[in-house]
Amino acid sequence: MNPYKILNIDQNATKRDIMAAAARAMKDRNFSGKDVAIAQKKLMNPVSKAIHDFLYVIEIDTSPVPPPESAESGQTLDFEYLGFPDSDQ
Amino acid sequence: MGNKKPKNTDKLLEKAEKLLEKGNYQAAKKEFEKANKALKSDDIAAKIILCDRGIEQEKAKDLIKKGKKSIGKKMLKEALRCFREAYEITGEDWLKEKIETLKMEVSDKDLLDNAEEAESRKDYQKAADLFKQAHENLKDNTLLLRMAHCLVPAGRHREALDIYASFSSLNGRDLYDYGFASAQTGRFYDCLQAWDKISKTGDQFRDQKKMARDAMAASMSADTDIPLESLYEQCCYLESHGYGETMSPFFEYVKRLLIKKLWKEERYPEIHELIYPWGDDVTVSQLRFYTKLYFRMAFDSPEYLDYLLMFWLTGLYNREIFSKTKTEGIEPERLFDEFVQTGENLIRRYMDSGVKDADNIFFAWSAQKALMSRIDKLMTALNEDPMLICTPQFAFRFGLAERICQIIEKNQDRFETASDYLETGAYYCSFGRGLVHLDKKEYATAFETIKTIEGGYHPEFESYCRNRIHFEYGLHCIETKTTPPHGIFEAAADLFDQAPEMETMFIDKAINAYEDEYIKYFETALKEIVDHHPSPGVKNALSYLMTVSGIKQSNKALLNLRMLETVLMKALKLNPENELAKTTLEKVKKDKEMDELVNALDRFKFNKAAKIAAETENEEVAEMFFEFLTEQYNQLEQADIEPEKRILMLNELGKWGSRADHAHPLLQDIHESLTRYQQG
Repeated sequence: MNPYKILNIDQNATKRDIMAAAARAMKDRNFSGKDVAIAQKKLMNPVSKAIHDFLYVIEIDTSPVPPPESAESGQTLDFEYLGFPDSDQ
Repeated sequence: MGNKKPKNTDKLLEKAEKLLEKGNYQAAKKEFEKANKALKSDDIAAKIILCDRGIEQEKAKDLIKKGKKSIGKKMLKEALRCFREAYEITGEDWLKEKIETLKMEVSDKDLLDNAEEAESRKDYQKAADLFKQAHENLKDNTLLLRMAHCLVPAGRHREALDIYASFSSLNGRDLYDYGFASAQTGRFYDCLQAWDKISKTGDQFRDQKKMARDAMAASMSADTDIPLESLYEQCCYLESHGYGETMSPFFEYVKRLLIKKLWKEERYPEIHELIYPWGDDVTVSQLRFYTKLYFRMAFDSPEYLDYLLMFWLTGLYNREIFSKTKTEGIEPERLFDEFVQTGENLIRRYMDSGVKDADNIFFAWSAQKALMSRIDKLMTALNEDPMLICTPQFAFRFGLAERICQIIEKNQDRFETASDYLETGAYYCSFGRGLVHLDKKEYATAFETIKTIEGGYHPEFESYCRNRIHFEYGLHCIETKTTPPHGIFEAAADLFDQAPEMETMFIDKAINAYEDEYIKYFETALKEIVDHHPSPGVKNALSYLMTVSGIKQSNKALLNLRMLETVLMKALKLNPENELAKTTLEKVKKDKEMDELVNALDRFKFNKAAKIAAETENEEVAEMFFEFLTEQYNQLEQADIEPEKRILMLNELGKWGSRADHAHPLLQDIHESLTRYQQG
């Protein structure tokens, strides 16, 4: 189980944030108390947190890249209606 | 009625009655009329009326029949006329109902005729509306498609698309129409998906498809309501149709967006589908990502443990990746060990839960952990590209193996032992793929793999690799009680030179073999090895196994003493210090002499027996001979025989005894007895 998901925090969370998030998660009851406690324990331990940071967080560059040509959405084509095309057309 | 009827009128009436009975009303009427001309009878007039009714009924029947045939021929108006006339005759209710239905059908037919006529005039608006009305009347879904077919050229594309949406599959011209309407509403991908199903191609149609693809490419945008999965699918479509060159950055961008989304949703196998097969090269950021992804996948399913093996250690040993992982107050070395352990714990988890092959993965993991440590030490000392610190699988997959091999080859002096050097190089030479299988205990696969690989680039490493695989495959055969391929252990001779620890391990296994079958296999293997590698260890082990095997066979009466003696002599030739062989040989010799002695005595060959007793080095043999003589002497002393004969026999006993041991005490007894008997 992803401890960040359970506690609904990101990897920048401090120990204080983690504890607060665990209290909140216990209250929200979206996950079992055991899961929340395990998630908290995993992130409070610095070595375990480093491993989970590595495992659950990915760095992917998603800065926008525009397509080579932009067109208005819903543009239409002005081509002739052929009906059912024949191979000899 | 006193008139006498003419004779021929009776005949006429008789004939008419018969015809009436048969239902031939027309002919009956004719006959009745002829008769009535003469007779002017009311009865006959009534019969004529009966015939007229019959004729009418026949006519109605014919009309109904004709009407039904007309329906079959879709001549609804003609059918309607027939049924109407029939109804006028019979007045039957069902005919009235039939006439009403037909009237509606005729009206729908008119509607359809009008629609088709409008379509042929290219008045598509009108045709579409008429088909709509016809569909409302007839509830026939094919009319909906005809309506849509008119809506498209009429420019009412959205209405047409709404209709097509209600059909699960389209064919022929409907596919074209759907595609056309989709393109006209900016849904180019839908258009192309439909048009790609049309096998017919004409120049104009091909041009239109090209235009649609161009328009699709031009309208691509990530800022859209389309789900990322669909957008990515569209990118793939365009890429496969030659738009990769111009749109590659955008496609990659969409792919990254999708990966990010899937990662968040922990849909790792789908990410794998997106990135697999990996490219020929790999960047540090890709390696970082693969390291994480395949750990996550292996965490969720053991079927990805091979990928964990390939990437986890490679990723962790990469300085550019791991250096970013820091934790205050924790030594980097400790953190590194914890990361490595995390991978190991995952494999152990599957081992503990009995997952098939997890044990083998763990063996490979352990071997590669040691290998990675060596390669890291080498590459770091040489300040080489961190990407070269990688598992063999990674090196082969991303084309790094040859470079690594060359570096190892040039830096033999940096390895602690020759064995370390050879083993490390072997993993990255072309035969190294087999070694990876070997680590996973896939012996037969390893053996078969190297058969298919052409070597010749790094003979030293390749030779070690081949020898090791042959040797371990052979050893595996022994351990699974399978006959190893003939000559496979010849490879061990070189391997033992290259890696003495292998020799120690093999000898240890051989001398601890206890079951007959294992002993037999190890003995055969050692015999193959000893000719090429006659080291003391191999010779001693073979000597020992030959001795044990000989003894066991002798105990089972599979070897006689002579054969056992030969085996022991050979064993002692290999190792003169073989204590087991020495003591056994002594015992064999004694047993053999005993056998010979008993045999001689049984056959009364006392001179021969005396000779054996004289020549033996074994006291027990001589003792046995004298026991025999003593017994003979005692029996002679007690026997009631003639003195001359007794003297003769005592002389014989004394002669045999003195030949064996002239100082034996029995000879004194015999001498005293002889003196006593000779004196009388």
